[in-house]
Amino acid sequence: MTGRGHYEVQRALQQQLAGLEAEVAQLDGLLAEHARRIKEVDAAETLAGSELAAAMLPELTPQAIESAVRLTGYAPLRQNDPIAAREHERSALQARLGEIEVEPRYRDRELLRAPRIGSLVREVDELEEFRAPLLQVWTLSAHPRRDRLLAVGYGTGKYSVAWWRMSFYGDWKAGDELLERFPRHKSFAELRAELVSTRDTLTVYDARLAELREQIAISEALEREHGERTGALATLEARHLEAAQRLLWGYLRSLGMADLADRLAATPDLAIMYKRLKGMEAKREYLEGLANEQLKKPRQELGAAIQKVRRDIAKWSRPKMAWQNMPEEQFGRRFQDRSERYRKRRERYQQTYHTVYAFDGYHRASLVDDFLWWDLMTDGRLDGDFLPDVHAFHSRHPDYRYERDPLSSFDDSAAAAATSDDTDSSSSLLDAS
Amino acid sequence: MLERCFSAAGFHIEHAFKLAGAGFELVLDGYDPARRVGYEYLTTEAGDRVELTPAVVAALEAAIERGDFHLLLVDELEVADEAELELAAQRFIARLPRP
Repeated sequence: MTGRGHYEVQRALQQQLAGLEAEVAQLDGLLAEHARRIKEVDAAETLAGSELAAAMLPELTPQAIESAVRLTGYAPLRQNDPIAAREHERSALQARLGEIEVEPRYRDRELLRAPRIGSLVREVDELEEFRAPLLQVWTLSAHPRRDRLLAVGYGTGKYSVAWWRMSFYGDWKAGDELLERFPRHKSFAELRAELVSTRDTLTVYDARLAELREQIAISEALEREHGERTGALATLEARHLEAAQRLLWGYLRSLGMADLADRLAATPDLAIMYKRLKGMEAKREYLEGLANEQLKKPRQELGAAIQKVRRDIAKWSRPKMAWQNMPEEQFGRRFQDRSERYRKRRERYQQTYHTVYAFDGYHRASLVDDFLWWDLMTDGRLDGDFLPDVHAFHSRHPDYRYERDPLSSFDDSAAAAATSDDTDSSSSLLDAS
Repeated sequence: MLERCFSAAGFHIEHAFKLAGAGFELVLDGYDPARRVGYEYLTTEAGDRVELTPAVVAALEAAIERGDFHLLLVDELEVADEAELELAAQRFIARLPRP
């Protein structure tokens, strides 16, 4: 049987794998670039939307709201009554601020909390100072049996543990150990008196300290809340206006090109801004569609092709394949150089992508129902039917024909490159062998 | 350890000594019947907590208080280490009435 031998097939498979991986790297690079650009388009669309909404609703007054409703037909803007919502919040903020301002822990906050001189702070400092030596005694007396000794009255006449019980001797030993730590006391009774007094005083101090710290915390929380509510009051107008503008913008996004044609006829500046917003929405759709169809899908196919080549490499590495040949015709079909086809496909993508991405002639759009942004962006020279939106438009408007702008500055060479015929474009990335 | 301490102090300790009285009957870990002195090491493992019910302990302590005999009652849960037990035994022995 004639054909290519085992080593030649293996070498060709390795070359094919390298070629496919190189193409994947190229597509990954283009996908990364697309991700960056889509962020730019998003930012531009956001700006266009907020500018249009701000132009349609420049302030939150009854007149401005009526004007915006007239311009857009968006009645919920009036029904939601953003002015009432704003005034409701204003009342609530002012009421709460009033409550806080008469609350002594806020009103007298400086007197209470000023470092070193505030009355609460000073009392905390004093108590801490008094507490320190007591805490020292209490810490020094830390012993697993200390609290028991105090509880059972060890060292006093109340101590009643029988001398034949082990606990009697446990208490005795613990008492001795504690007494050793306080040589100023001659008996445990003396030490006990100090420990009981220390414990009771610490309990009183700690309760007072907790109370003082709670008062300080409440005063701090009130001051924080006052600051937050004052801030909210300062931004009240802007926040409610922005919220109403966002509502309006959300509605504008849901509209088609022709929906505001009549309403915006008398306001050409707003009409241009509206076209700009709609054009950016379309641009984003097209760019995502292009990346999906011409980068992501081929990228998936290449991934599958790479898996297949890897399986074949493993197959042709087995000892039993050492004397196998691949028929010449099959070898030629399997290992034909596809790099040129890949390059053309990428160039076609880049030309189309760039054409759409760079488009800025939004003002040339028409506010009519049978308007296709794709044709305006590409001057009708590029087929966009592979994009779901474009395809759907053509289905809805079977008689639609785009008339080119005679003054268009469209780059013919770009169109030529983007439409260049690639007869194998639909064929498999890797012919089956 | 307890046996060593008591023996060092001159007691003739017998193991598993049966001691009975009003309201109690138990087997002591160590006891000198002649001097009526001994000890009982209470452990859960040996079932002492079942045998030495509160009523039995009360009857036993009443007898100790009357001076019928002297027993060091050691609960294993109260012993931190051997040194503590040894000190307790020595102090107990020192408190016993002179023969």
